[in-house]
Amino acid sequence: MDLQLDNEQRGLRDTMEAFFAKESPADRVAEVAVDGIDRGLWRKMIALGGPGLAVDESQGGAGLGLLDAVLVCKEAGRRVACVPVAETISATRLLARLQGCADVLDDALDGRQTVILGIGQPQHGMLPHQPWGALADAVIVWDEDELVLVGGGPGAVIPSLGFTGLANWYLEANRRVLATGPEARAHWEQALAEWQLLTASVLTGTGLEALRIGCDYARERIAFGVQIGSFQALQQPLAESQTSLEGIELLVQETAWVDFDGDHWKRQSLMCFVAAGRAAVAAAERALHVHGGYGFTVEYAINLYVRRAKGLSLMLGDPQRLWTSIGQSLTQAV
Amino acid sequence: MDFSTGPDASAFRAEVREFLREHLTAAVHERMHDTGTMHDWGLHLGLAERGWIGAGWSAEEGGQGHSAFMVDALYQELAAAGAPTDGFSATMCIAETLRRIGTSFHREQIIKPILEGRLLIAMGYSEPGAGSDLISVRTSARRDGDMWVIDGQKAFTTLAHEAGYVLALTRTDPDVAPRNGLTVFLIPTDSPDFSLAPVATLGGERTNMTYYSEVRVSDEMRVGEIGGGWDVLSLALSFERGGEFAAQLRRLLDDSISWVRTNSDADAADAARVGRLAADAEVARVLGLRAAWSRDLPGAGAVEGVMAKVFATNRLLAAAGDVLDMLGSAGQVTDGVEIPGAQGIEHTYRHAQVTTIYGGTTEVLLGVIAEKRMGLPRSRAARGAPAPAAAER
Repeated sequence: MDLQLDNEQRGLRDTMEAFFAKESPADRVAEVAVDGIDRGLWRKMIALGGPGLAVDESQGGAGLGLLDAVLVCKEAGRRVACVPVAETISATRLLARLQGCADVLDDALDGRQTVILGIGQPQHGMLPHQPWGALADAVIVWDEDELVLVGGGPGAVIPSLGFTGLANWYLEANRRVLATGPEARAHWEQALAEWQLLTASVLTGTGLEALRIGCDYARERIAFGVQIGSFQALQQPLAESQTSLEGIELLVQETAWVDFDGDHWKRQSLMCFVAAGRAAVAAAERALHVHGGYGFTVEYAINLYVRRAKGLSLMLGDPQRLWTSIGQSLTQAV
Repeated sequence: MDFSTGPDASAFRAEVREFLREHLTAAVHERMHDTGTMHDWGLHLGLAERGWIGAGWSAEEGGQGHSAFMVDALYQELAAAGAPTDGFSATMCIAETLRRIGTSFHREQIIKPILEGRLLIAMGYSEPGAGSDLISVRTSARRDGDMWVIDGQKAFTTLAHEAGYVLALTRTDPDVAPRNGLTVFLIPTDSPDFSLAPVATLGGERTNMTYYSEVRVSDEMRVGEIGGGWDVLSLALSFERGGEFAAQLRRLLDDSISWVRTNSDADAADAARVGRLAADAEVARVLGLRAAWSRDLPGAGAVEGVMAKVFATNRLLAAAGDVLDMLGSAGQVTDGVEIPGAQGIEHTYRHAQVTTIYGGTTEVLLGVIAEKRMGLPRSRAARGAPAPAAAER
């Protein structure tokens, strides 16, 4: 057992930390937060090989694994980056597992097409509220009994709390069936679980960075003659959030480290997603609160962390229902 | 990164479970329930015979050279089975301390019988009026020729009625700064001037008040330097563990799943409670893993251990109340309930109340995390306190 990043992982993390710090600073995010789409950043991500980060080299990717992708997603989350990292990585990994989709994969890897994984269930021929659906050229959707690539994007942007470039996708036109049957369904479910895990990592990054920002402020701000960070009433909720998020981050890393094994793995991923959403929202809200009235203004970056954490945590629907489905899968399993 | 627990950890776990099937009998459970004593000499001697007391120590020290991680697996299995190991775990915190700073006398007279399963040591830190604020202890030790004379009282000296010694924090110099006037002694419980009174608790466990009326001990019983008691205590407290609390959450989860499976009217809200509890148990598990793993690193995993303890015990307390709610009026029945899981949930609810108090209260430990992990300024209240400070088990 070794719970430290190895040298290569540390190198990747440091590179991506520096990349997002330079390319996605708070003032830039504030500028693009109306739509939640940073096209300049996305072009640079493509040039870095971002979409194919965790696809085999033999298939044109960078040859890294899911755990590496988790590390990259955390760094994107720390800077509330306005680009589809989890959405494209889970899509290219799905394409790489399918037969006869090499052309789509090639387009997705070199950025000729931005292909994202569609999240959620289509309703009346429409897939609502897709994160970065307003940036993507195509979406991979499970529709009835078929895995379908729907082109003709991007969709029209819907302004949102999480500023995640939301768009509704209409599924009637520009359809290409990629695969059908139970095997295709299983591949799709794995892709969705990977998206959950990667998004959990985005959320832990967002939550932990919010805490860091909150602590910085708490050291600077003087009230009643002392640094407000010395007040126990302020320290305790922040320390509780730090502990939860570090634990969830470890659980995400562990899940990414073990091989996919079906139902258990899918449940762990969903658990990571819901737990990370809850913990990141609490952390960001507490960090905002530390700022007092300034935290409520858009001058300070902390409001972006509350918005992004809450928005992302709603992507799979009411978290309470997700807890129910996790509980049911445990109590119904024999 | 590498999350593998090693091929021998699962084999070792299986060996521990087999051992528990043999030694953790219905009679042991019944004795625990009736007396509140969370220790059983038969089970304890069995552990010693397997070499599991000091399992992580080198062969020269009388151990088996297991990794810290394997030792944690042992603690987890014992906790998951509900084995009475309070005496074992408290004694090992002290044995680990003596192993590092003890004299040859301590090694021969104290550590040896501990490893043989013949001796327990109770923690005598807290006093009436000094819980998390241990720097204010008043039990005194004064020199008299070659001897020391101990006078005062200690609170929550759990298992003192089974222990051969109490490791007591005393004040040897009232005239220096409070932190520098403390010294630690091993006080024999067979001294005629030592006495105790049992204290019953909400969770059913028995603890004790202990009284020291001019107890005379030789200087060989001193642990660490005169005036160095604070360092000894800080070291002893650093051996508190995280893994066993994660195992208690896992047990609560298993009980909750059993209950939901046998109750046809359990609904979506109940399933959601189980889902949240499962996530908490998983997070507690990996925090416990990290605490065990980081014990061999510089810093000895002190903050990681604190984080594991705070998370697991806070969630245990919250979750036990939450799942007890789903039992409704049946949840309050304390004995003879046939529904699977119900009795365990009710008992965990009561036991959970103390877990956020002993081994350092949640409030004190969150302050440690804020300061050591997050770089926040030390709070005014914590300025005279140790990090981490704790009351004993």
